[in-house]
Amino acid sequence: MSSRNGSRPTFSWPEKKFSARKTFSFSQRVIIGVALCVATPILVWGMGFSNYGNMAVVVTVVMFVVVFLDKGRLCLRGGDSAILSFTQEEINSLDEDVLPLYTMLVPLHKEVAMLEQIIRRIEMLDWPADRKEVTLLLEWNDAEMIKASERIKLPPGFRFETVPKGKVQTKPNALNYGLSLATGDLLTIYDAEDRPDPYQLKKAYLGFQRAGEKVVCLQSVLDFHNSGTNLLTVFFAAEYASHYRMLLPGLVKSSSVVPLGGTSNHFRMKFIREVGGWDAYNVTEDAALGVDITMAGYKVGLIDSTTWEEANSRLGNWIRQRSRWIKGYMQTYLVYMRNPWTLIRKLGWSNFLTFQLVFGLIPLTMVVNPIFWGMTIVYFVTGSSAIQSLYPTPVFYLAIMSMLPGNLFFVYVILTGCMLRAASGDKNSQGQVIWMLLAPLYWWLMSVAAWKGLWQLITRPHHWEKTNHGLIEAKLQARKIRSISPVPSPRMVPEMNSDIG
Amino acid sequence: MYLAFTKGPNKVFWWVVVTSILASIASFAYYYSQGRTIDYVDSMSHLLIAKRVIDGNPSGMGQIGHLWLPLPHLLIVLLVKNGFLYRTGIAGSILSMVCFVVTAVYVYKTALRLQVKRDVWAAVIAVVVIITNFNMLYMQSTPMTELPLFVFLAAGAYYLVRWSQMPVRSSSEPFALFLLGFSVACAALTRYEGWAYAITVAIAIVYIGFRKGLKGKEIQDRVVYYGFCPGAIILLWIGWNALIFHNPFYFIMSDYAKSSNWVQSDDKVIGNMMVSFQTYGLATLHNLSVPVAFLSLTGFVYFLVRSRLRPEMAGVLVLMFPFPFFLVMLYYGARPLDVEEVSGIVINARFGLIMILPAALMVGYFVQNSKWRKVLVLPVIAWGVVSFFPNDIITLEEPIGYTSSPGTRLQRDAATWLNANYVDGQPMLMEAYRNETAHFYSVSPSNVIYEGSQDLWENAIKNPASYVDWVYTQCGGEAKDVVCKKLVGTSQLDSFDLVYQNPEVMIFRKKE
Repeated sequence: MSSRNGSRPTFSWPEKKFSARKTFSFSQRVIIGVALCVATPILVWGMGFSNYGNMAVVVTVVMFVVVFLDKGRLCLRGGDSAILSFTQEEINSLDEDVLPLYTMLVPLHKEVAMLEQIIRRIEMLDWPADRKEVTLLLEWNDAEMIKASERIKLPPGFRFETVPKGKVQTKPNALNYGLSLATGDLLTIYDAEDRPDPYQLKKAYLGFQRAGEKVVCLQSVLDFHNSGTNLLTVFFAAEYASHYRMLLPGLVKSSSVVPLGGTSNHFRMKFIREVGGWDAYNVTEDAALGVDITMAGYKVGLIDSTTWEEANSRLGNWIRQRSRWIKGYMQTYLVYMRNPWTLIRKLGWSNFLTFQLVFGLIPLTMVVNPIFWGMTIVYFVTGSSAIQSLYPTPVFYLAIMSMLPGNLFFVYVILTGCMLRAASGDKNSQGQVIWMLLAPLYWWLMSVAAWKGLWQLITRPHHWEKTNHGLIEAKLQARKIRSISPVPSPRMVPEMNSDIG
Repeated sequence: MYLAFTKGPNKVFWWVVVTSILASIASFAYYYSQGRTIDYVDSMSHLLIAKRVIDGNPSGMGQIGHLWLPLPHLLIVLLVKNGFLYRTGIAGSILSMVCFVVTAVYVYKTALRLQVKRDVWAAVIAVVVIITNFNMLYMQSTPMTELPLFVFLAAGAYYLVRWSQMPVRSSSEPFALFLLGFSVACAALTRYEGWAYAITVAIAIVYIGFRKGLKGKEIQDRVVYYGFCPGAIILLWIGWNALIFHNPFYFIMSDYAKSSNWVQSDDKVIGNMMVSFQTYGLATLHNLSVPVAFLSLTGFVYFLVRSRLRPEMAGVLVLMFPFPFFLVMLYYGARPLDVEEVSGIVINARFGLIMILPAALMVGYFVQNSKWRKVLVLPVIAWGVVSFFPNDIITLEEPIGYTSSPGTRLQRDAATWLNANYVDGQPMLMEAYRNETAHFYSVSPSNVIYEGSQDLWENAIKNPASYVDWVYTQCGGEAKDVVCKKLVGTSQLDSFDLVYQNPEVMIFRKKE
C-alpha cells in the first residue's frame, strides 16, 4: 500500500478566514504604534515615568491577579470527571465489523531516527488493519527522509506521501495536504516520537459515541516517558501533567476554548473539513483549531488515554520548542482579536474571557515576569525610590497579595502535576516532587522562551522552530541498549532514564 | 432514644449542624447578655489589630503586627469595619461561632471515618462532648483565636484520616493531601501551636505511608506535597517579620514577644517536667471536666487496644500533639500557664481546652457499635456538664478575675473619663501593650500613635508636642509603660497639662 507521490509541483490549500499569514492587522499596527509613541519618551527620557509607570504596574498587577484567579478556578474545576474513561470490557465488547475507517496523519520532517518506531507504534494500535489509513507525510525537500522511506516496507494501510512545495513549510501545511487525501470517517494526528496507548483509537471511537454530536474533537492526555532524564524533563513532565490533568479538564468542564495539543487529537472528519483544516501559517495550529471549534459552536472532550512523548532534555531544544509554542499563542491571539466583537459574538463573554486568559494573558505574564522579578531584586538590593514610587500603597498591597498567594498557587499547580504522576504509581516520577520547589527556575526559562517567541513573532512569524526528537533513543543506542522499549501500559511509564529522583 | 433517629447519616449530619448552631447562638446570647464576651484582654487586642488594618495610624497590612499570627485578624477585617460589631466584639465572636460549628462538623465526620461500621450515633456522641462543654461554649462566644485554631486542627485531622483511607497510589491522593496541607497551613497562620501541628502531621504521613506499604521516595513525595503549603506559610511569616521589622525572628525576639514578659524565671514549672505535667494535666482536666476526661482516657486505652494503630488512627493521635508541646513549652518557660492547684492563680488555663478534640474522638471511638456503652456514657457526659456549675468554667474564671482587678477597673475609669472629655480626631500618644482596655473602650485606633506606628511612634516619643494633643500613660505601681518611662517628669511634657490621674493612669492634654 506504499505509494510515493512526488509528482505534484506545488500545493495550495484555501487560506482560512482566521489565518496568521499576516501577523498584525492594520488596526493592531496603529494601536502598537501609538503605544510605542507614548512609551518612547517615558522609557528614553523618563517623562511622566511615575504616572505611566504606576498605570503599567496597576494594569500588570491586575493581570496577574486575573490569571491567578481564573487559572485557579479552572484547575479546581477540572479533575477526573471531565475525562471520558472506559473499562476494558467496553473496549473488548466493540464490534469490529462496524468500526469506521480511521485516518492517521503523521507529519515527518527530519525524523529519520524515529521513523521505525512510529510505524511500529501505530501498527500496534488496536484497530482492524483494513480500516487504518495511515499517511506518513514527508516534506518535498527532506531528502534524507525520502531516502529512508524508500528502505522501509510498510504494513498494510500505511503509505508515504510527499508534501509538495507550498507557500510555507509547516506542520499544518503538511496536515492540510494529508487531509486533502484522507478518506476516513475519523482522523487523528501522531508525531514521530509518539507512543500512543494501544487502545486509543477504540477509546476515541467510544468517546465520540458517548459524548454526542456536539463534541467534534477528543484530545488524549499527553505525557512523557523520559521524565527522569534530567531536571528539565522533570519540570516539563510536571507542567504537562498539570496542563492535561488539571487545566484542560477545567476548560472542558467549562465548555470553554481548549488549546489542543499538537498530537493525539481525534476529529470527526466531517468537522475538520467543515472548518477548513489547519491554519498553515500558525505555528500552533492545534491551539488555533481549538478556538475554531468553540467558535463553530462545537466542543472538545478529553479521553483517558495517554500518548507518551519524549520530553525535551536539552535546554536549547526545549527553548526552541517553547518559543514556538508561545509565539503561536501570540499569533493566535492577534489573529482572533482582529475583530473582538465577532469573537465575543461567537464565543460568548465567558469563553471570550477564557480566550484572553489562555492566549493573551498567560504568554504576556511570561514576557513581563522578568521585568517584575528584576524590579523586586533591584529594590531589595538598592532600595530604589524610583521603583518604590511605582507602587503607591494600594498598588503595593495588591501586588503583595497577588505575588504571595499567586506564586504559591503556581508552585502548587506544578507540584500537583508532579504529584499526580507520582501518585499514579509511575516509578519514574517517584522522588521528583521535591524538585518542584525550584519551579521559579523553570519560570525563568519560560520567560527566556517567551522573549525569543516575541522576537520571532516580529521578525520570523512563520518560522517553524524544529524540535529534535529521539535524543533519548540516540542516547540509549549509544549505550548499546535496544532502541525501542516495549509499549507502555496505559497508566505506566517505562522505566528508563531515571537519572533524577 | 437514639434508636428513633437511625435514618441514615445525611439526616443525622444536618441534625449535628443545626444543634451546633443552636448551641453556639444560645451560648453567645447568654454570655453577651452578661457582658462577658470581651473580658479577655487578648480579645480586645485581636479586635484592635484587625481594626488598625483598615482604620489605624497608619492603616494597612503593616498593622497586622508580629506577635500574633495574622489569619484570625484578617478574617474579621471586614467585620470590624462596622463600628457596632467592633465595639461589641461581635465581629470576633462571629468568627469563633462559625469555627465552633465547623469544628463540630469535622469532629462528626472524623469520628465517623474512624469506625469500621460507620456508627452514626457514636459520631454524634463525639459531637455531644464538644457542644456540651461549657469552656468550649464560652470560648466560642469570644473573639479569641482558640476556635479558629480548633477548626483548622479538626479539618487537618479529618483530611489526614481521609487520605490514610484512600487506596494507595490513587489519583485523588493529591487533592486530599492538598486539603490537608491547606488546613494545617491555616492552623499555622492562626496560632503558633499550628507550627507544631504541621510537624506532627508530617510525622504522621511518614507513619501512615510506611503502614500502607509506600516506599521511601513515595513517602517523601507525599510529605513534600503536603508540607509545601504550611512550610511556605511559616517561611512567609518569617519573611514578613524580616521585611517589616528587619528581623526574621522578631515574633519571638521583640520586646513584646519575650517570654520573660509573662513567665518569671523562678516559676515552678521551669525545668521541672513533673510540675509541667501536673500543670498542663490539671488545665486539661478543668477544661474537659473530670468525668469527660476520665471517659476519654478510657476511650484512649480502648483505642490503643482495639485499633492496633491502623494508619487512619494517626488522625486522632496527631490531635494529641498539644500535650507534649505544652509540656516542653512550660518546661522551658516559653509559655505562661498557671492553675490554682500549682501556682495559686489561673493564667491561660484555656490552653488545656485544645485536648477536647482528641477527647471527643476517643469517646466516639469507645462507644462505637455498642448500645450499652452509649447508654453508659451519656450520664457521664451529663455529669461532666453539671460539674461546670456553679463556678467551674475555668476559661471564664480568668477573664472575670482580670476584669475585676483594680488595674483593669482603673483603666476602665480612665476610658470613661476619656469618652466624656476627649475630642474625637485629636491624636493621642499611648502604648497599646498593657493599655488595651482603656484603648479599646475609648479612642479609635486611627487617632492613636502607638508602638506599631513605626516612625510616628519614635518621633512622637521624642517630641510629643509636635505630634499629639493627648498623652495617655500607665504610670502607677511597678508596671510603668514606655510612655511613662520616657516622658513623665521630663520637659517634653511641659507643653501638656495633666488633666486626669488615678493610681494607675495619667492623661495629659496639650495646653491651649
